[in-house]
Amino acid sequence: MGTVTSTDLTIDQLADWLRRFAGIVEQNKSYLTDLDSAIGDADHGANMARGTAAVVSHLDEANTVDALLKKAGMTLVSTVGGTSGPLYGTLLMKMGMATGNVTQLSTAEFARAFRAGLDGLIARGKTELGDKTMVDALAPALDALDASVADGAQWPDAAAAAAAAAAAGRDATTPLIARKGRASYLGERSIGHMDPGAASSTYLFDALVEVLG
Amino acid sequence: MTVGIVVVSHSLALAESAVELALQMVHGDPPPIRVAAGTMDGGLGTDAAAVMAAIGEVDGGDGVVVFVDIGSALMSAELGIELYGHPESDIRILAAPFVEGLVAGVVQAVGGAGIDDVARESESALKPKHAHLGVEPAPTGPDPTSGPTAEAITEAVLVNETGLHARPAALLVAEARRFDADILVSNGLIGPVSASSSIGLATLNARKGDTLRLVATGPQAGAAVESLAGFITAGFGE
Repeated sequence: MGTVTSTDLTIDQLADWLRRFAGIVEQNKSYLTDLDSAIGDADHGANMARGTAAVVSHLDEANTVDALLKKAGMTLVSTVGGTSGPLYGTLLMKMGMATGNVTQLSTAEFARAFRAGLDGLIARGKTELGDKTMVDALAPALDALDASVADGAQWPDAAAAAAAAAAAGRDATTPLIARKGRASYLGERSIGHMDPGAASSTYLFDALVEVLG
Repeated sequence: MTVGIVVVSHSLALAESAVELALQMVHGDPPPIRVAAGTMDGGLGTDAAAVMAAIGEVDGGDGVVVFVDIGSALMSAELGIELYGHPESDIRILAAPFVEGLVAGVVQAVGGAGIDDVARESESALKPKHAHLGVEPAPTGPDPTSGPTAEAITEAVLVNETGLHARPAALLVAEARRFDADILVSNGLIGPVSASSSIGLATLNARKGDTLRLVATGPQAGAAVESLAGFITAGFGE
Protein backbone atom coordinates (compact mmCIF):
# COMPACT_ATOMS: atom_id res chain seq x y z
CA MET A 1 0.00 0.00 0.00
CA GLY A 2 1.64 3.22 -1.18
CA THR A 3 1.23 6.65 0.29
CA VAL A 4 -1.70 8.74 -0.85
CA THR A 5 -0.73 11.24 -3.53
CA SER A 6 -2.80 13.71 -5.47
CA THR A 7 -3.17 11.13 -8.23
CA ASP A 8 -4.72 8.51 -5.97
CA LEU A 9 -8.42 7.83 -5.67
CA THR A 10 -9.21 7.16 -2.03
CA ILE A 11 -11.88 4.74 -0.91
CA ASP A 12 -14.00 7.73 0.09
CA GLN A 13 -13.68 9.16 -3.42
CA LEU A 14 -14.57 5.80 -4.92
CA ALA A 15 -17.66 5.63 -2.70
CA ASP A 16 -18.46 9.17 -3.81
CA TRP A 17 -18.01 8.03 -7.41
CA LEU A 18 -20.69 5.37 -6.97
CA ARG A 19 -22.94 7.82 -5.11
CA ARG A 20 -22.66 10.38 -7.91
CA PHE A 21 -23.23 7.68 -10.53
CA ALA A 22 -26.47 6.83 -8.73
CA GLY A 23 -27.36 10.52 -8.68
CA ILE A 24 -26.84 10.98 -12.41
CA VAL A 25 -28.82 7.81 -13.13
CA GLU A 26 -31.67 9.08 -10.97
CA GLN A 27 -31.66 12.46 -12.76
CA ASN A 28 -31.78 10.71 -16.13
CA LYS A 29 -34.14 7.92 -15.21
CA SER A 30 -36.90 9.03 -17.58
CA TYR A 31 -34.43 9.70 -20.36
CA LEU A 32 -32.96 6.18 -20.08
CA THR A 33 -36.41 4.65 -20.02
CA ASP A 34 -37.38 6.67 -23.11
CA LEU A 35 -34.30 5.36 -24.93
CA ASP A 36 -35.18 1.83 -23.84
CA SER A 37 -38.82 2.14 -24.84
CA ALA A 38 -37.71 2.79 -28.41
CA ILE A 39 -35.74 -0.44 -28.79
CA GLY A 40 -36.18 -2.44 -25.59
CA ASP A 41 -38.59 -3.12 -22.75
CA ALA A 42 -38.69 0.40 -21.29
CA ASP A 43 -37.23 -0.52 -17.92
CA HIS A 44 -33.58 0.54 -18.07
CA GLY A 45 -34.08 3.82 -16.21
CA ALA A 46 -36.20 2.35 -13.45
CA ASN A 47 -33.97 -0.72 -13.14
CA MET A 48 -30.74 1.25 -12.92
CA ALA A 49 -32.23 3.81 -10.52
CA ARG A 50 -33.42 1.04 -8.20
CA GLY A 51 -30.09 -0.78 -8.35
CA THR A 52 -27.81 2.20 -7.91
CA ALA A 53 -29.95 3.54 -5.03
CA ALA A 54 -29.46 0.18 -3.32
CA VAL A 55 -25.70 0.47 -3.91
CA VAL A 56 -25.68 3.85 -2.18
CA SER A 57 -27.42 2.39 0.87
CA HIS A 58 -24.50 -0.04 1.38
CA LEU A 59 -21.56 2.31 0.72
CA ASP A 60 -20.68 2.71 4.40
CA GLU A 61 -20.17 -0.99 4.95
CA ALA A 62 -16.78 -1.44 3.26
CA ASN A 63 -13.34 -0.53 4.59
CA THR A 64 -11.33 -1.52 1.54
CA VAL A 65 -11.64 -0.76 -2.16
CA ASP A 66 -12.15 -4.39 -3.15
CA ALA A 67 -14.91 -4.86 -0.57
CA LEU A 68 -16.57 -1.61 -1.68
CA LEU A 69 -16.62 -2.58 -5.36
CA LYS A 70 -17.59 -6.21 -4.78
CA LYS A 71 -20.46 -5.22 -2.50
CA ALA A 72 -21.65 -2.66 -5.05
CA GLY A 73 -21.51 -5.28 -7.80
CA MET A 74 -23.38 -7.88 -5.76
CA THR A 75 -26.02 -5.31 -4.87
CA LEU A 76 -26.56 -4.49 -8.54
CA VAL A 77 -26.97 -8.14 -9.58
CA SER A 78 -29.59 -8.54 -6.86
CA THR A 79 -31.55 -5.36 -7.39
CA VAL A 80 -31.43 -4.18 -11.02
CA GLY A 81 -33.60 -7.02 -12.34
CA GLY A 82 -32.71 -6.76 -16.01
CA THR A 83 -29.63 -7.77 -17.97
CA SER A 84 -27.89 -4.60 -16.80
CA GLY A 85 -27.73 -6.21 -13.34
CA PRO A 86 -25.39 -9.07 -14.22
CA LEU A 87 -23.46 -6.79 -16.60
CA TYR A 88 -22.86 -3.78 -14.32
CA GLY A 89 -22.55 -6.21 -11.39
CA THR A 90 -19.84 -8.21 -13.13
CA LEU A 91 -18.05 -5.00 -14.12
CA LEU A 92 -17.80 -3.81 -10.51
CA MET A 93 -17.17 -7.23 -8.96
CA LYS A 94 -14.33 -8.06 -11.36
CA MET A 95 -12.97 -4.56 -10.82
CA GLY A 96 -12.99 -5.19 -7.07
CA MET A 97 -11.29 -8.55 -7.50
CA ALA A 98 -8.51 -6.81 -9.44
CA THR A 99 -7.75 -4.07 -6.92
CA GLY A 100 -6.85 -6.16 -3.91
CA ASN A 101 -7.19 -5.21 -0.27
CA VAL A 102 -6.28 -1.51 -0.55
CA THR A 103 -7.73 1.85 0.48
CA GLN A 104 -6.74 3.91 -2.56
CA LEU A 105 -5.99 3.44 -6.26
CA SER A 106 -3.54 5.26 -8.49
CA THR A 107 -4.72 6.35 -11.93
CA ALA A 108 -2.96 3.33 -13.43
CA GLU A 109 -4.42 0.95 -10.84
CA PHE A 110 -7.90 2.32 -11.42
CA ALA A 111 -7.50 1.90 -15.18
CA ARG A 112 -6.17 -1.64 -14.77
CA ALA A 113 -9.02 -2.63 -12.46
CA PHE A 114 -11.59 -1.07 -14.77
CA ARG A 115 -10.07 -3.04 -17.66
CA ALA A 116 -10.46 -6.27 -15.66
CA GLY A 117 -14.08 -5.32 -15.03
CA LEU A 118 -14.71 -4.59 -18.69
CA ASP A 119 -13.14 -7.91 -19.69
CA GLY A 120 -15.49 -9.65 -17.27
CA LEU A 121 -18.48 -7.76 -18.64
CA ILE A 122 -17.54 -8.65 -22.23
CA ALA A 123 -17.17 -12.33 -21.27
CA ARG A 124 -20.51 -12.29 -19.46
CA GLY A 125 -22.37 -10.61 -22.32
CA LYS A 126 -20.44 -12.36 -25.11
CA THR A 127 -20.38 -8.93 -26.64
CA GLU A 128 -18.16 -7.37 -29.26
CA LEU A 129 -17.48 -3.77 -30.09
CA GLY A 130 -20.15 -2.52 -32.48
CA ASP A 131 -22.95 -4.72 -31.14
CA LYS A 132 -24.73 -1.55 -29.94
CA THR A 133 -24.20 -2.19 -26.22
CA MET A 134 -22.57 -0.74 -23.11
CA VAL A 135 -19.23 -1.94 -24.47
CA ASP A 136 -19.38 0.65 -27.25
CA ALA A 137 -19.15 3.41 -24.65
CA LEU A 138 -16.97 1.66 -22.06
CA ALA A 139 -14.25 0.31 -24.35
CA PRO A 140 -13.27 3.63 -25.97
CA ALA A 141 -13.40 5.30 -22.55
CA LEU A 142 -11.00 2.72 -21.15
CA ASP A 143 -8.74 3.08 -24.17
CA ALA A 144 -8.65 6.84 -23.53
CA LEU A 145 -7.89 6.26 -19.86
CA ASP A 146 -5.08 3.85 -20.71
CA ALA A 147 -3.67 6.40 -23.18
CA SER A 148 -3.74 9.07 -20.47
CA VAL A 149 -1.92 6.76 -18.08
CA ALA A 150 0.68 5.98 -20.74
CA ASP A 151 1.16 9.70 -21.39
CA GLY A 152 1.58 10.36 -17.68
CA ALA A 153 -1.60 12.43 -17.53
CA GLN A 154 -3.18 12.87 -14.11
CA TRP A 155 -6.69 13.24 -12.77
CA PRO A 156 -8.86 15.13 -13.54
CA ASP A 157 -7.66 15.42 -17.16
CA ALA A 158 -7.60 11.62 -17.53
CA ALA A 159 -11.20 11.40 -16.35
CA ALA A 160 -12.34 14.14 -18.70
CA ALA A 161 -10.69 12.42 -21.66
CA ALA A 162 -12.35 9.13 -20.74
CA ALA A 163 -15.75 10.79 -20.35
CA ALA A 164 -15.43 12.44 -23.76
CA ALA A 165 -14.51 9.11 -25.37
CA ALA A 166 -17.44 7.39 -23.64
CA ALA A 167 -19.84 10.03 -24.95
CA ALA A 168 -18.47 9.69 -28.49
CA GLY A 169 -18.83 5.91 -28.25
CA ARG A 170 -22.38 6.27 -26.95
CA ASP A 171 -23.34 8.60 -29.80
CA ALA A 172 -21.82 6.19 -32.29
CA THR A 173 -24.30 3.48 -31.21
CA THR A 174 -27.20 5.39 -32.78
CA PRO A 175 -26.63 4.29 -36.41
CA LEU A 176 -25.74 0.70 -35.43
CA ILE A 177 -27.91 -2.41 -35.74
CA ALA A 178 -28.41 -4.02 -32.34
CA ARG A 179 -26.93 -7.49 -32.14
CA LYS A 180 -27.53 -8.26 -28.45
CA GLY A 181 -30.45 -8.23 -26.08
CA ARG A 182 -34.05 -7.48 -26.81
CA ALA A 183 -33.17 -4.71 -29.26
CA SER A 184 -31.64 -7.34 -31.54
CA TYR A 185 -35.14 -8.61 -32.32
CA LEU A 186 -35.75 -5.31 -34.09
CA GLY A 187 -32.87 -5.77 -36.52
CA GLU A 188 -32.63 -2.77 -38.84
CA ARG A 189 -35.41 -0.98 -36.96
CA SER A 190 -32.91 -0.45 -34.13
CA ILE A 191 -31.00 1.92 -36.42
CA GLY A 192 -31.42 5.56 -35.41
CA HIS A 193 -31.83 4.89 -31.71
CA MET A 194 -29.11 5.32 -29.11
CA ASP A 195 -28.36 2.26 -26.98
CA PRO A 196 -29.67 2.83 -23.43
CA GLY A 197 -26.88 0.77 -21.85
CA ALA A 198 -24.24 2.80 -23.66
CA ALA A 199 -25.98 5.95 -22.42
CA SER A 200 -25.97 4.87 -18.77
CA SER A 201 -22.37 3.66 -19.09
CA THR A 202 -21.19 7.19 -19.85
CA TYR A 203 -22.51 8.25 -16.42
CA LEU A 204 -19.72 6.21 -14.80
CA PHE A 205 -17.22 8.62 -16.35
CA ASP A 206 -19.36 11.71 -15.84
CA ALA A 207 -19.47 10.75 -12.16
CA LEU A 208 -15.69 10.35 -12.10
CA VAL A 209 -15.29 13.85 -13.53
CA GLU A 210 -17.61 15.20 -10.81
CA VAL A 211 -15.61 13.50 -8.06
CA LEU A 212 -12.27 14.76 -9.34
CA GLY A 213 -13.45 18.13 -10.55
CA MET B 1 -30.11 -40.20 -8.12
CA THR B 2 -31.77 -36.95 -7.17
CA VAL B 3 -31.17 -34.15 -9.63
CA GLY B 4 -31.97 -30.71 -8.23
CA ILE B 5 -34.07 -28.24 -10.20
CA VAL B 6 -33.88 -24.44 -10.20
CA VAL B 7 -36.45 -22.31 -12.03
CA VAL B 8 -35.30 -18.81 -13.00
CA SER B 9 -37.92 -16.36 -14.21
CA HIS B 10 -38.66 -12.64 -14.35
CA SER B 11 -41.98 -13.34 -12.67
CA LEU B 12 -42.50 -15.10 -9.35
CA ALA B 13 -46.09 -15.89 -10.36
CA LEU B 14 -44.93 -17.42 -13.64
CA ALA B 15 -42.26 -19.55 -11.96
CA GLU B 16 -44.54 -20.76 -9.19
CA SER B 17 -47.31 -21.63 -11.62
CA ALA B 18 -44.92 -23.48 -13.91
CA VAL B 19 -43.70 -25.48 -10.92
CA GLU B 20 -47.29 -26.16 -9.85
CA LEU B 21 -48.05 -27.42 -13.34
CA ALA B 22 -44.99 -29.68 -13.36
CA LEU B 23 -45.66 -31.04 -9.88
CA GLN B 24 -49.09 -32.24 -11.03
CA MET B 25 -47.12 -35.02 -12.66
CA VAL B 26 -45.60 -36.09 -9.36
CA HIS B 27 -47.38 -38.69 -7.30
CA GLY B 28 -44.89 -39.14 -4.52
CA ASP B 29 -42.27 -36.89 -3.02
CA PRO B 30 -41.46 -33.90 -5.24
CA PRO B 31 -37.87 -33.48 -6.43
CA PRO B 32 -35.74 -30.78 -4.80
CA ILE B 33 -36.97 -27.70 -6.67
CA ARG B 34 -36.58 -23.99 -5.97
CA VAL B 35 -37.60 -20.86 -7.83
CA ALA B 36 -35.45 -17.75 -8.20
CA ALA B 37 -37.84 -15.27 -9.73
CA GLY B 38 -38.78 -11.62 -9.68
CA THR B 39 -37.05 -8.74 -7.96
CA MET B 40 -36.84 -8.33 -4.20
CA ASP B 41 -39.54 -5.66 -4.26
CA GLY B 42 -41.96 -7.97 -6.05
CA GLY B 43 -41.42 -6.63 -9.56
CA LEU B 44 -40.38 -8.32 -12.79
CA GLY B 45 -36.71 -9.19 -13.05
CA THR B 46 -34.03 -11.72 -12.26
CA ASP B 47 -31.52 -11.89 -9.42
CA ALA B 48 -28.23 -13.78 -9.74
CA ALA B 49 -27.79 -13.90 -5.96
CA ALA B 50 -31.18 -15.58 -5.63
CA VAL B 51 -30.14 -18.09 -8.30
CA MET B 52 -26.96 -18.80 -6.36
CA ALA B 53 -28.95 -19.42 -3.15
CA ALA B 54 -31.48 -21.65 -4.91
CA ILE B 55 -28.72 -23.80 -6.45
CA GLY B 56 -27.16 -24.24 -3.02
CA GLU B 57 -30.46 -25.46 -1.59
CA VAL B 58 -31.01 -28.19 -4.20
CA ASP B 59 -27.44 -29.32 -4.90
CA GLY B 60 -27.40 -32.76 -3.32
CA GLY B 61 -24.41 -34.02 -5.32
CA ASP B 62 -26.26 -35.54 -8.29
CA GLY B 63 -26.31 -32.33 -10.29
CA VAL B 64 -28.64 -29.39 -10.75
CA VAL B 65 -30.54 -28.33 -13.86
CA VAL B 66 -31.55 -24.68 -14.28
CA PHE B 67 -34.55 -23.63 -16.35
CA VAL B 68 -34.60 -20.01 -17.57
CA ASP B 69 -37.30 -17.88 -19.17
CA ILE B 70 -36.26 -14.88 -21.26
CA GLY B 71 -33.60 -12.19 -21.54
CA SER B 72 -31.66 -11.57 -18.36
CA ALA B 73 -32.70 -14.91 -16.83
CA LEU B 74 -29.93 -16.58 -18.81
CA MET B 75 -27.22 -14.15 -17.75
CA SER B 76 -28.38 -14.12 -14.13
CA ALA B 77 -28.30 -17.92 -14.15
CA GLU B 78 -24.75 -17.96 -15.55
CA LEU B 79 -23.62 -15.46 -12.95
CA GLY B 80 -25.51 -17.33 -10.21
CA ILE B 81 -23.59 -20.52 -11.04
CA GLU B 82 -20.33 -18.60 -11.02
CA LEU B 83 -21.14 -17.01 -7.66
CA TYR B 84 -22.11 -20.40 -6.23
CA GLY B 85 -18.65 -21.76 -7.04
CA HIS B 86 -18.34 -25.49 -6.37
CA PRO B 87 -16.74 -26.49 -9.69
CA GLU B 88 -17.16 -30.12 -8.62
CA SER B 89 -20.94 -29.76 -8.92
CA ASP B 90 -22.56 -30.53 -12.27
CA ILE B 91 -24.84 -27.54 -12.79
CA ARG B 92 -26.38 -27.00 -16.21
CA ILE B 93 -28.54 -24.29 -17.70
CA LEU B 94 -30.85 -26.10 -20.08
CA ALA B 95 -31.71 -24.89 -23.58
CA ALA B 96 -35.22 -26.16 -22.92
CA PRO B 97 -38.65 -24.57 -23.39
CA PHE B 98 -39.60 -23.14 -20.02
CA VAL B 99 -42.89 -24.89 -19.32
CA GLU B 100 -42.60 -28.09 -21.37
CA GLY B 101 -38.98 -28.55 -20.36
CA LEU B 102 -39.76 -28.13 -16.69
CA VAL B 103 -42.57 -30.67 -16.85
CA ALA B 104 -40.35 -33.20 -18.62
CA GLY B 105 -37.43 -32.54 -16.30
CA VAL B 106 -39.51 -32.94 -13.15
CA VAL B 107 -40.90 -36.26 -14.38
CA GLN B 108 -37.40 -37.52 -15.08
CA ALA B 109 -35.96 -36.27 -11.81
CA VAL B 110 -38.75 -37.84 -9.76
CA GLY B 111 -38.14 -41.12 -11.57
CA GLY B 112 -34.57 -41.09 -10.36
CA ALA B 113 -32.99 -40.24 -13.71
CA GLY B 114 -29.44 -38.92 -13.86
CA ILE B 115 -28.68 -35.40 -14.98
CA ASP B 116 -27.92 -36.46 -18.57
CA ASP B 117 -31.39 -37.96 -18.94
CA VAL B 118 -33.08 -35.03 -17.23
CA ALA B 119 -31.28 -32.60 -19.54
CA ARG B 120 -31.95 -34.57 -22.70
CA GLU B 121 -35.64 -35.02 -21.95
CA SER B 122 -36.10 -31.38 -21.05
CA GLU B 123 -34.28 -30.13 -24.11
CA SER B 124 -36.38 -32.29 -26.42
CA ALA B 125 -39.61 -31.29 -24.72
CA LEU B 126 -40.97 -29.45 -27.75
CA LYS B 127 -41.08 -32.66 -29.78
CA PRO B 128 -44.73 -33.51 -29.01
CA LYS B 129 -45.83 -30.05 -30.06
CA HIS B 130 -43.69 -30.21 -33.19
CA ALA B 131 -45.04 -33.65 -34.01
CA HIS B 132 -48.65 -32.63 -33.49
CA LEU B 133 -48.33 -29.51 -35.58
CA GLY B 134 -46.33 -31.22 -38.28
CA VAL B 135 -43.31 -28.99 -37.75
CA GLU B 136 -41.11 -32.01 -37.39
CA PRO B 137 -41.85 -35.68 -38.05
CA ALA B 138 -42.50 -37.80 -34.99
CA PRO B 139 -39.38 -39.73 -34.10
CA THR B 140 -39.21 -43.07 -35.84
CA GLY B 141 -36.81 -45.93 -35.43
CA PRO B 142 -36.20 -49.36 -36.81
CA ASP B 143 -38.89 -51.99 -36.43
CA PRO B 144 -38.48 -53.00 -32.78
CA THR B 145 -39.35 -56.63 -33.47
CA SER B 146 -36.70 -57.14 -36.12
CA GLY B 147 -33.60 -56.65 -34.01
CA PRO B 148 -31.70 -59.59 -32.63
CA THR B 149 -31.82 -58.18 -29.11
CA ALA B 150 -35.60 -58.18 -28.68
CA GLU B 151 -36.27 -60.39 -25.70
CA ALA B 152 -39.83 -59.75 -24.65
CA ILE B 153 -42.76 -58.44 -26.66
CA THR B 154 -46.33 -57.84 -25.71
CA GLU B 155 -49.26 -55.63 -26.61
CA ALA B 156 -51.72 -53.73 -24.48
CA VAL B 157 -54.85 -51.76 -25.32
CA LEU B 158 -55.32 -48.32 -23.81
CA VAL B 159 -58.59 -48.30 -21.87
CA ASN B 160 -58.58 -44.99 -20.10
CA GLU B 161 -60.72 -42.20 -21.57
CA THR B 162 -57.96 -39.71 -22.16
CA GLY B 163 -55.45 -42.13 -23.67
CA LEU B 164 -51.76 -41.81 -22.96
CA HIS B 165 -51.88 -38.20 -21.84
CA ALA B 166 -49.33 -36.55 -19.63
CA ARG B 167 -50.29 -38.05 -16.28
CA PRO B 168 -50.49 -41.69 -17.39
CA ALA B 169 -47.29 -41.17 -19.38
CA ALA B 170 -45.55 -39.97 -16.23
CA LEU B 171 -46.84 -43.01 -14.34
CA LEU B 172 -45.65 -45.30 -17.12
CA VAL B 173 -42.20 -43.69 -17.04
CA ALA B 174 -41.99 -44.28 -13.29
CA GLU B 175 -43.07 -47.90 -13.71
CA ALA B 176 -40.61 -48.51 -16.56
CA ARG B 177 -37.75 -47.16 -14.47
CA ARG B 178 -38.29 -49.87 -11.86
CA PHE B 179 -36.93 -52.53 -14.19
CA ASP B 180 -33.46 -53.31 -15.42
CA ALA B 181 -34.57 -53.33 -19.04
CA ASP B 182 -34.67 -51.11 -22.11
CA ILE B 183 -38.33 -50.85 -23.02
CA LEU B 184 -39.60 -49.45 -26.31
CA VAL B 185 -43.20 -48.52 -26.95
CA SER B 186 -44.87 -48.05 -30.32
CA ASN B 187 -48.39 -47.18 -31.38
CA GLY B 188 -49.08 -48.66 -34.79
CA LEU B 189 -46.62 -47.00 -37.16
CA ILE B 190 -45.64 -44.32 -34.65
CA GLY B 191 -42.55 -44.96 -32.61
CA PRO B 192 -40.92 -46.79 -31.08
CA VAL B 193 -39.93 -44.52 -28.23
CA SER B 194 -38.38 -45.26 -24.89
CA ALA B 195 -40.89 -46.10 -22.15
CA SER B 196 -38.80 -44.04 -19.78
CA SER B 197 -39.25 -40.89 -21.88
CA SER B 198 -42.43 -38.96 -21.18
CA ILE B 199 -41.64 -36.75 -24.15
CA GLY B 200 -41.27 -39.77 -26.39
CA LEU B 201 -44.51 -41.28 -25.09
CA ALA B 202 -46.33 -38.04 -25.78
CA THR B 203 -45.29 -38.20 -29.43
CA LEU B 204 -47.11 -41.54 -29.80
CA ASN B 205 -50.39 -39.62 -29.80
CA ALA B 206 -51.98 -42.74 -28.25
CA ARG B 207 -55.73 -42.57 -27.59
CA LYS B 208 -58.31 -44.81 -25.97
CA GLY B 209 -58.61 -48.07 -27.93
CA ASP B 210 -55.11 -47.85 -29.45
CA THR B 211 -52.90 -50.90 -29.10
CA LEU B 212 -49.45 -50.21 -27.71
CA ARG B 213 -46.64 -52.59 -28.53
CA LEU B 214 -44.01 -53.08 -25.84
CA VAL B 215 -40.62 -54.50 -26.70
CA ALA B 216 -37.98 -54.91 -24.03
CA THR B 217 -34.38 -56.04 -23.80
CA GLY B 218 -32.29 -56.60 -20.71
CA PRO B 219 -32.26 -58.85 -17.65
CA GLN B 220 -35.79 -57.98 -16.54
CA ALA B 221 -37.31 -57.64 -20.01
CA GLY B 222 -40.04 -60.20 -19.45
CA ALA B 223 -41.15 -58.88 -16.10
CA ALA B 224 -41.03 -55.33 -17.42
CA VAL B 225 -43.35 -55.81 -20.40
CA GLU B 226 -45.72 -57.94 -18.29
CA SER B 227 -45.93 -55.29 -15.60
CA LEU B 228 -46.31 -52.37 -18.01
CA ALA B 229 -48.95 -54.17 -20.07
CA GLY B 230 -50.92 -54.90 -16.89
CA PHE B 231 -50.55 -51.31 -15.82
CA ILE B 232 -51.82 -50.03 -19.21
CA THR B 233 -54.79 -52.41 -19.43
CA ALA B 234 -55.74 -51.50 -15.85
CA GLY B 235 -56.07 -47.89 -17.00
CA PHE B 236 -53.06 -46.67 -14.99
CA GLY B 237 -55.19 -46.89 -11.87
CA GLU B 238 -57.21 -43.90 -13.06
